[in-house]
Amino acid sequence: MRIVTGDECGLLKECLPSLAKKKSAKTVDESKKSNIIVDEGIRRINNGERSCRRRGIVALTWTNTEEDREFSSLHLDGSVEVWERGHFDEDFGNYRFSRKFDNIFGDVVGDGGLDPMKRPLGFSQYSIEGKSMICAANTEGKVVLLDPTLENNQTANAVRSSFTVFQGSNNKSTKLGVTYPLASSMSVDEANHYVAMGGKERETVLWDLNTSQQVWKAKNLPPDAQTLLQPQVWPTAISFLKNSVFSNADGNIMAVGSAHNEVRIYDIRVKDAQAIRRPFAVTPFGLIEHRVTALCQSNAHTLVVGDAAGYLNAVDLRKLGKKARVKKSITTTVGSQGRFVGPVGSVQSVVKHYDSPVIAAVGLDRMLRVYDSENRKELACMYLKQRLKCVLVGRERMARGDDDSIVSENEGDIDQEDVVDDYVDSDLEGSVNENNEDDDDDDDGDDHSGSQDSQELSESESDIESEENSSASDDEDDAPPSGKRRKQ
Amino acid sequence: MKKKPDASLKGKKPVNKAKTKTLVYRNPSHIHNKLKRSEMYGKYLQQKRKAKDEQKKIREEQLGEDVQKPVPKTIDNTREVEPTSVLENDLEVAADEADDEFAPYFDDDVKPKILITTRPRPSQNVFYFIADLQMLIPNLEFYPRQSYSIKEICQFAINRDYTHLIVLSEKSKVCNGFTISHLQKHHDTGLAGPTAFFKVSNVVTAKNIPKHGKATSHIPELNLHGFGTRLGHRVGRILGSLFPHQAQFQGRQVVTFHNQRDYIFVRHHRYIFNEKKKEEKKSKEAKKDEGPPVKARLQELGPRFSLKLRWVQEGIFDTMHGEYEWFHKRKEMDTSRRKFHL
Repeated sequence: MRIVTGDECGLLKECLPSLAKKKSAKTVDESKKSNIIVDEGIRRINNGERSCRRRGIVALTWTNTEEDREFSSLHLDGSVEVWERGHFDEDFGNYRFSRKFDNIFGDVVGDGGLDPMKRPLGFSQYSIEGKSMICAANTEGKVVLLDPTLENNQTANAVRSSFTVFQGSNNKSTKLGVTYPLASSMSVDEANHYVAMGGKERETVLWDLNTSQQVWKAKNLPPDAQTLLQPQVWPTAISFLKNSVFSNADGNIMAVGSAHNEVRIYDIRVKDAQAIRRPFAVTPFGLIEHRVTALCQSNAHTLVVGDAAGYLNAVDLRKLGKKARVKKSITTTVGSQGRFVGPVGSVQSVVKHYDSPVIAAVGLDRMLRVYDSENRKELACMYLKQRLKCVLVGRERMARGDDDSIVSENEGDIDQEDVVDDYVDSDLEGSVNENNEDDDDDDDGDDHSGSQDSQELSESESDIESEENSSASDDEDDAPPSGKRRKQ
Repeated sequence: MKKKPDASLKGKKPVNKAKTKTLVYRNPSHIHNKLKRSEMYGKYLQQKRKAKDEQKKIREEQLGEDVQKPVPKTIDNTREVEPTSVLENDLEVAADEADDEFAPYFDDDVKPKILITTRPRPSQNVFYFIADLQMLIPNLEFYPRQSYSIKEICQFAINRDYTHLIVLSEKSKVCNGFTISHLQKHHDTGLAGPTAFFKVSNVVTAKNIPKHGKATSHIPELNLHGFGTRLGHRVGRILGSLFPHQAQFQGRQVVTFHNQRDYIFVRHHRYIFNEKKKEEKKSKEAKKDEGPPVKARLQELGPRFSLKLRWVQEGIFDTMHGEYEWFHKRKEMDTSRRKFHL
């Protein structure tokens, strides 16, 4: 499984958890110290570039998911870079710089310091009429639609349209003289072509990307009976849930995590006659102890919530009620399925693999952690030296070595041929083998890369099979004797 | 009637018990008489020691001249390998540190200006501690807390061009917490720097240190020792940025932040070099090492205290909405006695 991470210094790294060094609690030996850190599972993608905070990576998105071919990165200075992998590149670490679009928001002037009020917030790829586009937003509320397929450095042509979400907001959010940026989170709904944005004391709004109009705005919960105040609002993480237990069609549900320690679930059936603006589910007070920084849907009814102190909670959506304040006896247990133990610093991004139940979490504690989303066990933990901001998980499953327990033997293995051997008499063995070899050659001629894949997979598979056979035989040896003893 | 000696003593000559040494073979804990027991125990230990020395002599004679004393296993020796340890030639980490919030202080481009304050209504001991800290850290200014919130104080400090804010918290009239917040914004990203919170223990003010010296206003040298991991580097840089990096060597003062087993010991010394006089003794062969020709003697100044890191937060002090870079979770992280994070 291929994982790409981006950090605050502008380094892009590709990681293969299967090649990560196993944890071994050995003592520090001066001679061995040099061997600790060289981790074969990590390769740097943009080697040529000097690491610099100005070029820090804000977001990553796949632009061509076929064989994880192409992805793009959004940098702090407002530039978008596209990286691609060749067709026959089987090794990892082979992403090459393809093209760049400078200054897509038009904010950055020269080499001076960047304005913290106008930082890029995030971006995501969506496809419209078969064409892939990128929607990017910055903290001022400006949304830009970019065409990533154009040639290098054609920013003016690539930017198809732009609009500002929180327009006419002169009253910037200030408290004690500290000015907060207008927008603090964004997310793109690929299915319906919406972009959702929210800021401090600004409710989440949905804008349509095609018409550049606002289509929906969230409404806050009713005032609390004791304080007579509506709960405070500060969306810091937004995620559209697909194929959840609540949706009728794709992309009806949106989860919004706020800095006030809660996650709200909204129903956004905008096209229907009546738009529901209040959340229909809220996490109870006390379940999440810190600001929510990342959200990820792990299956139809579970949401993984990452917060600012490194707690990753799995929340069951079906069990959440409408009220944030619930009975004291069930606080923190309502909806909580458990925690993913591991991260020590704020979780910046949580991403799930396309179809297998694997989650990758990345945070300010400089570690990439890969978990099994069903039993919440840590599968791999890789030290990546910098404070990580975003992560991407590829769809391709490269090596078989890692997820043996999760990914079943032949899942997704289209190229594996069913080799049916006829019963062969030992005398005739030689002649029958020759025939089989001819057959293989014919099939391989068509798809060069496919056969390589199957060969690789079959090799590693045979290794696994031999391991499994040996372990199975051990079990068999153990079981019958004891059974016999008991009978006697 | 003359008393006959006991039948068992037949054929045995009388023995003066005062002149013979009794060997105590087993631990005399079975003796109920306390006086006698303590006497026997003393003899027991002496004999044990003697036997050990004899064994050692025999071993040395057998093995020859180059017998090395075996190194005992300590917790520091057997520390668990931290994957986040920083190696010497790590270019990535060096590049990151050249670009981080504290690089200007280490390059001496910016001089630190620090504001220190306490919790509202502090106790008297804390004032003495602050007075000592003002001798320890140059350019440290105290403002009374009154009842402002820390966020307000941060804002006031930024307005008056302070670079760092230190807040001391205390419990039961003893200082127990130390928060350092870096207030200035990073030149590229425009975000204010990290906040670190330490637990403080074993605070000894200068007055209470025997034979202490009085610190002068010379800028001390800085000694950051024992910060091995990435987190350690970060903390070391936070602490190092409190000092200006143009040491005045005539002052002969040094501030040490020594990290051992996740505790950071803070000491303030004045050093003086003594040259050893050369003695001409050709006849006698020097058994022991003569020692280095120049020796440094230390006189302790200023306060003495220990710090233990509790959390590091990105941005200025903000417990409600801040993002933590590192948060000490006792149950998850303190799983082994040999695992240290700094």
